[in-house]
Order: sequence, then structure tokens, then C-alpha cells
Amino acid sequence: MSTKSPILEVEGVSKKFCLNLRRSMFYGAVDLANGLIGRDADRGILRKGEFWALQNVGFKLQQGETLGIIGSNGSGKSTLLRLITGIYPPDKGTIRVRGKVGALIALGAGFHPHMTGRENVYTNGTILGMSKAEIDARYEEIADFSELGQFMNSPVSTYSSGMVARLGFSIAVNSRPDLLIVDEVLAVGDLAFAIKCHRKMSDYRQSGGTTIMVSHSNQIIRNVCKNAIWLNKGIIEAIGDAQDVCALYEAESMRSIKASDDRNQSVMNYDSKARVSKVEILDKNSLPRSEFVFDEEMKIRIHIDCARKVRNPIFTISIHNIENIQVISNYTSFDGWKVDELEGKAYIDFILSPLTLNPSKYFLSLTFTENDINKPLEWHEKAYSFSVTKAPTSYGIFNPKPRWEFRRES
Amino acid sequence: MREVVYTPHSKHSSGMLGSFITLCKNTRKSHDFIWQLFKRDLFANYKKSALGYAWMILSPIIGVLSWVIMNSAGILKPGEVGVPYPAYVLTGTLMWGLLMGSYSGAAGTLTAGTDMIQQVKYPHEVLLIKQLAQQLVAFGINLLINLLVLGLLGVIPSWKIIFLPLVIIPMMLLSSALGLWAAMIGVVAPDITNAMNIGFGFIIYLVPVIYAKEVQNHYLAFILHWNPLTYLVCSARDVMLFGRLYGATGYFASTTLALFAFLFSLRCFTLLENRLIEKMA
Repeated sequence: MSTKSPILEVEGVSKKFCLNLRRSMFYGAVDLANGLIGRDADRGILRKGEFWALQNVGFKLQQGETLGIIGSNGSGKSTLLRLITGIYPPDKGTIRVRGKVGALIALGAGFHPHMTGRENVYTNGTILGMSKAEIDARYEEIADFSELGQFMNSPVSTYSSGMVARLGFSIAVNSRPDLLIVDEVLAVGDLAFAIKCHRKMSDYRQSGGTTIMVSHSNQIIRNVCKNAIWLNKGIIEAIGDAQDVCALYEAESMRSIKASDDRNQSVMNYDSKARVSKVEILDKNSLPRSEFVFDEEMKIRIHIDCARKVRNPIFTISIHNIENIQVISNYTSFDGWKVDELEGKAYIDFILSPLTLNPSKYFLSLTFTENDINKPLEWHEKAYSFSVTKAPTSYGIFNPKPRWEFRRES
Repeated sequence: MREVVYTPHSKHSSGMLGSFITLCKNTRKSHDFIWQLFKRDLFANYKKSALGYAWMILSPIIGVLSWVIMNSAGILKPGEVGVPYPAYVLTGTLMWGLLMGSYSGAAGTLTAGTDMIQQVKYPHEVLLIKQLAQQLVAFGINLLINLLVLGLLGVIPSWKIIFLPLVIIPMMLLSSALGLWAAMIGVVAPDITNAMNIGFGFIIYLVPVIYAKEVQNHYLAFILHWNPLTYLVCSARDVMLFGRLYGATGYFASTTLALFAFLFSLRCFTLLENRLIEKMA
């Protein structure tokens, strides 16, 4: 990241909270009493029951950049956003913000259910720092973007949560901040609205707006952000290029999930005489691998051991990415593979050649069924994992390696 | 571009006057914000009601009637007060109502923004202005009804009533100072605030609002003499009814105390509000 005139500078910032509510209130009372007599306790030390929600966090953000913040629940992402917006003060360190900050931490903050959408535009708009004149000037734009039409004159209590989110986003994004902070709020609303929001934010970025985005979707962070921060238990675990940071986060997430260790819990057998004895993930030389390079061959080998005849066997394989999106789902019955019956020991290979999944971590599930795919003999639910690295582009879930053709029209 | 710096001690540099100047600046800068929240909180609650805004005048009328009925029933024996007792007690309770309203309004400075305080950054102290503005509207309606009733009772208010807006300021400052402390303490020690609220309701008996200033009990007389609220509340009443202050020395001493208390409370509030907001999560 460049160091030239940053719009945001966070230097050595730490924030502590107390785990116990009563003790937290007690500390609050002590701080209040200290404040009354002009004493300010050393905020750099932890008292009993306190913990660091953020510790020594530092980064800079230039105008026009988009920074993603990723991390598991409780890693300190929302706390960091609240510190940047000035809602909470830091316990250590300094935060410098240059320009107007617009926070989409919760859409529709300050909405009153008995007031109409129109009235709430004015209330919420002023809460976000707009003057009445500015709201007057942008009202049509806000109303149009929200697509609420005649509902603008109905009380907000009659709105669905998606409608509230639309109106809240529309007001917030039209407040035209220099730094826009987005905390997972785009997960609400319907798909069409989510796409519209992303387009609007894209316009905002194109016009030089600076964004900090918190999301549990690494795909969104990869697609939208140039740089990213991975927060882990309040500490910056990685900072830099969004692709690299997401990859590191996913690798760590995989380690913590320990999918292979939990194999026994995610394998269910319904017929002891028809079993999947082993599953291997192999490279083109049939050697076991867990990490593949984009475009090479990957083989999933399913070993079966049947003590009886299994008639019309069907195998299914599905692959989910780390965000639990199913990226591949194949059935032998649909793919043209068919045998009338199986007995004894054998194996079947599922070959991806080339492997065109984009870099990420993936989970493998499979089923072994007899005649009816809804009646599995054995089911392995995300019991195996592998990763893909090094692709020409990391945007999207997979790269189908399309062919582009150019023709001049006469 | 405007630069804002947040540090653990960013609010320590300004003193009592600095906090007051910041309040004035933020009030001016956030006047649209204050006005929108004022409208929201004043009117929105009546929208579901069949009688609607009529409740804004019905409530004080019922309050007036209760005093008139109690007096005509001979329940109250206030002693000699210089005007018909209903006029005396109605005007006194009108001022007391403003005092209590200012206290509870200020006490709600943090909770009035509960729905947004964790989500958006805004100058929290300006909510005090919004809260007090709401109380002044209620006071204005009560005052008009009160003037009407005084007319019916044959009591003509003094022309010096035009000074009433000035005379009530110290009273509002002192009650706001106490209210701000209730707001702060309420976040970390709600029991104390509950006790404060109950205690404040009881203090009406330690101010000659519903009885005459001459009392037999020495202890009560001592309290009445040294209680700053006596001078602030009763001066507001007496300016309206008789065109004079209730003990000029006591009034100005209490005014000084009120001003200092307000500035001190505002300073503490400004200093501690963000720490308290953490505890509201």
C-alpha cells in the first residue's frame, strides 16, 4: 500500500472489552468515577476478565482503494469498523480519518416504524450527516434507487425487511461519503437488489470513492477489493493483496476445520455389505495429493467393497468451495456411466482434466447408491478436501477456459 | 478534507467551556439532525392513536383538573399563598413539570438514540438539545392551558411574565446537569439511576410548590432555605404570578450553581460518553 496522503491511517490500535457483563458495568462505573476526578486509568493494561478485541492493528488506506476485511466470527472486524467510524474510542493507538465517513453497519439506523418511508429518508439522512437541502436535492434519486414507489408514503412498519434494507442502503450510499464502510449488509434483500447494490458500489469506486468492506464471502472480497486484511482474534494475521490474503485465510480455515480428521463423523454407511472402503484424491500419476495447480489433472478414486451384488449402482460427487457454494455436482447416471451390477472389490475414477477450479479450498462429498439416488448405501459428506493454486485469474469460482473469437461485421 | 483523529484521550484537551462551545457548534451544525429527530419523537408516537395530537393537550388538562378537584373538595390546606390556591399550585406544578421534564429529558440523552448509537457516529450531546426542545414544547402547551385557567380563576399574570424564558433557564440547566449524570450512571449502574429518579420525584415536597413557603417544621424550613430548587422553581412561578423573584440572592446564587453544575456535567458527559456507549452494546 502506498503511503501518499492516505484517507485513513490506523496506527497501533488496540481495543479491549470485558467478558462478564456485571464486571464490565463495574469497570464502567470505576472509569466514570475516575473521569469525575480527572484521572484516566491506564487503558493499555488488561483488568481481570478483560480481553483484547483488537491488538496493535495498523494499516493505511489511500483514496480510491477498496480494502476487504476478513476473519472468523469474533475476530474483531465489526469492532474495527466502529473504531474507524468513531463510535468507540481506541484504548491504544491513533486513527486518522480524512473526509466524510459513511457507515453501512446497520441499514436503516434510526428508522421509526410509524413514520413513512419519505419521513424516514429525512431522519436517516440527517443521522448520516446530510443536511435537509442535500436530502431535498437527492430525494428522487434515493426513492428511485430503493424502487419502493408508492410505499414511500406508507409507514415503515408495513415494509418487509428487504424493503427496509433497500431504503437504508439507498439513503446511505446517496450520502456520498469519502470513505464508505460496508459491514456485510449487502447480504440482506433479494438477489436483484444485491446486484443493484454491487453496481452502485462499483460506480462509487469508479468515481474515486474509498471503501472498506467486511464480508464472509471471500469471493466478494476477491472480486471487489485490491487489498485485504485478515483479522484473527483481534490481530492482523495477514495484510496485502486480496488474493493472497484470502488464500491464506482459507488455508487456515481448512486447517481448523480438519475435515480429514473428522472423516468418521461425516461418513454414513447404511448397508454393511456395500461399502466405500477408501477415497483417494490423486494426480495424473495416480499419486495422492491435496494441493493442485490450476489446469492439471485431478482424479478422485472411490474404492468399493461389496459383499453382495449391488444392482444398478450410481455414484454422485459434489464439490463445495469454502463458502459452501456447490461448484460441481455430477452423477454417474447423468454422465453416461452405467454398469448393471457390482460385487467384490473395485474402484471408480472421477477425472477432472483439466482442473479449472480457481484457487481456493474445496470440499468433496460423494454418495454410493443402488438404483435410486435418494437411497444411499454410503454417504461421505464433505469428508475430503483439496486446494487449487496458481491460476491465470482468480476471479469467479472456476475458469472454463473459453475460446474468444473475433469477427469483423461487413 | 476535514481530518478527525481518534485517540484514547482525544476528548481530554477541551475544558468545561470548551465542551459547551462544542455543544453550541454541534447544535448549529446538526440543526437538521436535531429537527428531524425532534419531529420523529414528538409526533411519531401519536400516529397510531385515535385521538392523535389531542393527547398533547389532554394530558395537561387532566393534570389541571385533578388539582382543581382536590382543592374544591377541601383535601388540600396549603396556607396563605397570596392568590387563589389552584392558581398557585397549578403555576408551581407547571414549573416543577418543566424541571422534571428537563431532568428526564437529559437522563434520556443516551437512551434516546439507542436504536442508532452503536451504528452511526453523531454528536450525542446534541440529543440533549432535542430532548430539552421536546420538554419546552410540552411546557409551552401547559403554559397556555395554565394561563387560560388563571383567567377563569380571575388571576391576571404579571406583565413581567415576558421574562419567564430567561428565569426558567437556570432551572433547566440544573435539572439537565442532574439528568446528564442520571444518563451516564444509568449505563453502568442502573440501580443508582432508578433511585435518583424516585428521589427526584420526592423532592417536590422539599420545595414550596404545593404548599406555602412558611412552614412550621424547622428541619423542613432549613431545607427549603438551602435548597437551590426552591429559588429556581419558585422564582419562575412568582415571576409569572407576582412579577418578582423568590429571594433574589438565593436565585442568583442558585443560578451560579446551576451554570457551574451544567458545565461540569456536560464536560464529564463529553469526556465519558464514548466509554459508556461501549457498555450499551
